[in-house]
Amino acid sequence: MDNECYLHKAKYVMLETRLLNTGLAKKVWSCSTMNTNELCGNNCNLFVGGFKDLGTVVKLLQEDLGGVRLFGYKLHNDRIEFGEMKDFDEIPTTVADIQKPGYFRISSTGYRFRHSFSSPKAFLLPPEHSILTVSQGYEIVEDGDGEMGVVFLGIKPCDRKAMSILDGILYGKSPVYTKRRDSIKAIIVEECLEPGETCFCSAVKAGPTISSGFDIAYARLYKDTLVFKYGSSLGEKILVKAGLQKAQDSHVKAYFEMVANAISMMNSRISRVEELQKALKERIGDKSFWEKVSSNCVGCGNCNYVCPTCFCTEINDIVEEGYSKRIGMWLGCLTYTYGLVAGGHFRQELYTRYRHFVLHKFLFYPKQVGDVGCVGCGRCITWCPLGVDLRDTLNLLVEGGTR
Amino acid sequence: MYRVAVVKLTSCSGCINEIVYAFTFSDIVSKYRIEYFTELVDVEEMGGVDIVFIEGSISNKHQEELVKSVRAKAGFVVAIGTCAVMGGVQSLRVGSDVNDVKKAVYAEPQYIEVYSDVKPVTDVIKVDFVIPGCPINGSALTSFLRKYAFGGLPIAVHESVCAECKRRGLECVLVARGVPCLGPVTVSGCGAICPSFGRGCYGCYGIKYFDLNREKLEAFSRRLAELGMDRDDIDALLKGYGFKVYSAIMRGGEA
Amino acid sequence: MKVELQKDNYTANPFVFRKALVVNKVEEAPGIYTYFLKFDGEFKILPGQFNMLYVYGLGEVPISLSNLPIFRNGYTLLEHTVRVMGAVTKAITLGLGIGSFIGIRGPYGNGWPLKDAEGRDITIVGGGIGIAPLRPIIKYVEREREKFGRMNILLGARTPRDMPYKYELDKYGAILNTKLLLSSDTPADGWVHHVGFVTDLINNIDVNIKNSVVFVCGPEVMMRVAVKKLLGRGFRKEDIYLSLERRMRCGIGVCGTCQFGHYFVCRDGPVFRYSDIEDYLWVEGI
Repeated sequence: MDNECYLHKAKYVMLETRLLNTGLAKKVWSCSTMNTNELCGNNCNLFVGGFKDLGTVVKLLQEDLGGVRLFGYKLHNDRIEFGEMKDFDEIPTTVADIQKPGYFRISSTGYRFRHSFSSPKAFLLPPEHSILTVSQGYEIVEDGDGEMGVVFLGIKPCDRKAMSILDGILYGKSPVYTKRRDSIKAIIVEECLEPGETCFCSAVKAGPTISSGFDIAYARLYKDTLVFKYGSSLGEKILVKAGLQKAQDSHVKAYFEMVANAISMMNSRISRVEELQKALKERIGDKSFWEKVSSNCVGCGNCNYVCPTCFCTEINDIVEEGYSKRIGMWLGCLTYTYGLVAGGHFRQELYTRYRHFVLHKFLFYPKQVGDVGCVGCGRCITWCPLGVDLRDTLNLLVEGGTR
Repeated sequence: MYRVAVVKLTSCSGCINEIVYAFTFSDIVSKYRIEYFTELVDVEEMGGVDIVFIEGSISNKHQEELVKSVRAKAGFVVAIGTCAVMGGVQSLRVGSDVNDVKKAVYAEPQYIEVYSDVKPVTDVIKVDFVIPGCPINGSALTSFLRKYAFGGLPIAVHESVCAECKRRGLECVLVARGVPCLGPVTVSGCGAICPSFGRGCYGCYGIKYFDLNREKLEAFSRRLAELGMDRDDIDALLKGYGFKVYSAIMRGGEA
Repeated sequence: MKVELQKDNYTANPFVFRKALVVNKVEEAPGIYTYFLKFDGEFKILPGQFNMLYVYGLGEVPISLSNLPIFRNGYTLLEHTVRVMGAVTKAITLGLGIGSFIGIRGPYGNGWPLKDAEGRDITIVGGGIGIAPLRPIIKYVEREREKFGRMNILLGARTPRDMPYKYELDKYGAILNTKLLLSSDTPADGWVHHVGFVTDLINNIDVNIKNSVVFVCGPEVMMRVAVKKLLGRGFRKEDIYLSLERRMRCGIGVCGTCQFGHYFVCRDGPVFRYSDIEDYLWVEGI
């Protein structure tokens, strides 16, 4: 089979899984009608190399863009977080993450890293950011930070989708977000060929592969075998300059098989997301349902803070001697303060805030930005200290009943 | 110039240090005058003041009456520290025989006059503002003093320690390393000090008086038990600082 | 990488405010004050829109426009009626006297659809401080009287003392082709008007229901009752407009705290057509 047909095979598996989920399975594999760009973009023009080549690619990109800083997931003291990297080799390549509801560990027995508690949101909308500095005489004190250029290295397809969702809400409106978003000069995405246990990106069409909105993407077939592709003319230029070899049939075959497996594994864990909107509309006022699904929630807001698309903020004045700094700070909708106003509370009961979290992701975001606001990264599940599993709520919604 | 008094009840006096420290900022000192503060000013009796800070919990009738008289003499009352707000660590003795407790601590227990109960200041008088913490976070106090001077108050953010932990970019010690941590059910304000050193929160700002009920607290206890904690330790930890809130939650209904 | 992102109406920092001078302050009722704010330059704001008022070191509050704005000799004069609720409003009402400064940025929100109301009967239902955002409508209709049909003004407060704008209520009743109905939740000496809820008065008005617009503002419970009564009288869902209140921090749809269903109240509202929010208005804690 040529590249195209492997792609179609993978698409077929994907579709079949989806259809099996809805109980409507039938043969739909037809080579001539498939949109080859949907799965990986760029007609799956794949290249192959190792981490050394990724290093070359990053270096060439940095040279081409001039004076850019690298941001990505980095391994430091057994902790992986999203932040500025000194060099590309800080990228985690020798450890795996183990993720379960309320459980996260870094293990040295594997080599595939999915993601950590932090995400590109920590760069784009910092947890605490200055929005204005004011003097006591009501004069504005300018405190703009300088221009910068940034390359995102190794972010995941779900992270990239989350950026598009945040763009829809904040770009051109929030000064801090807009400035930081504009500073991103290139994006290198690492695709996920083996999803974590709490991942469900394929169910919300946020992964595990990426087809647009990136410059270069790579996937780790094996420990040091990477499959590269480009998503922009800049990316193409760099890959050509790096002198990467075209991927062989065996690489392409392995790539698509792994993608197909990842998709079917994730889709089997979650109900038909496309039926959620109807279910949510029906259940919106069902207090006992929402109380039930949030019965283990203590309103700590960890889900909000680790979510790559949660953007709600509080504005607080920090008074120093002679001036006041107006600070925007993350404020999760699960926390008590969300909806609290002087003389009243719009969401006093915790279940209403848990409900808002779910409604916002799956019912309101589509109306606000034209797409579901959940990217299926599963961070809210992994990092919930009580292990509350969003997928349970979604499955119950679609399947009915309150368990 | 606002006139200020500081009244101390049963406590370790840890918060007193923070109060003293707050009055070292020039912009604060220029707006407040300390009228009554046993540790700083040589004045026997508290007179009328604009603001009184009450630190510590109420252990006996004398303190209860003192607090009531203080309320009458002050325009604005601030309860300082977890003791004044929720009873503090000393309220762990509630439920034990008061004579046993006295005997355990004092050589001549007959001279000790205390209630069997420990009352937070907020149980006895109307309080205008609370700053929990054991001890309080000094910046919460300076923020209060600065904002009060403009005729306002700091915004109240009711949230868990987790919120501060995540805003500091810290990885959850409970999820990532299995360290028992009270952060999810503890009032924020400390800036997540313990998790920043890789330790679990031990709840010194008190159990959240919002959003929790018996079912949720039990689910959280089960979680701590799964991490290998002993039942007794879990109970002691949860009761530790916010015993009053904890017992209200466990009696049923919300805090 | 091709990033196709749209920056609409983006200014360098939308959080920058204008410095305004308090030129007058009127006590309307216990805990309710109207501020007259003056600043340089022209400022376009419509009835139903709001501004964020900033008090140094404390924060901002969203406050509706409570009278038509005045532009004169290169300056703007705005009226905002503030009720003491939290730290910021308390600092404004207790701390800010004539001659003080305040920060102001806006206008935000959509405002009442007064163009669509032309040629139709207008009914105004206001409760308590909710009367403030409705007041510019009354002033506007008075100024452009021939453009509108009959006007019914239904205003209520907890007690007669709590009613704002007492000194000019008679003038509302004297506007051509206008009926003013007042109510007080509790009886009081000398009160000759309705005792009960302002929404009770909806049954008493004479109006061409088929060619009508209703503007409602007040506590959420009161607005829900008003909607029920209005629908009961046969008003169309599309003709009922409500001005909602939420927790608002930014005014520009980025802080996310004012969400009401999928709407951002600060940007998509605060005025909503009932037919657009019917799925949400009855859901407790949405």
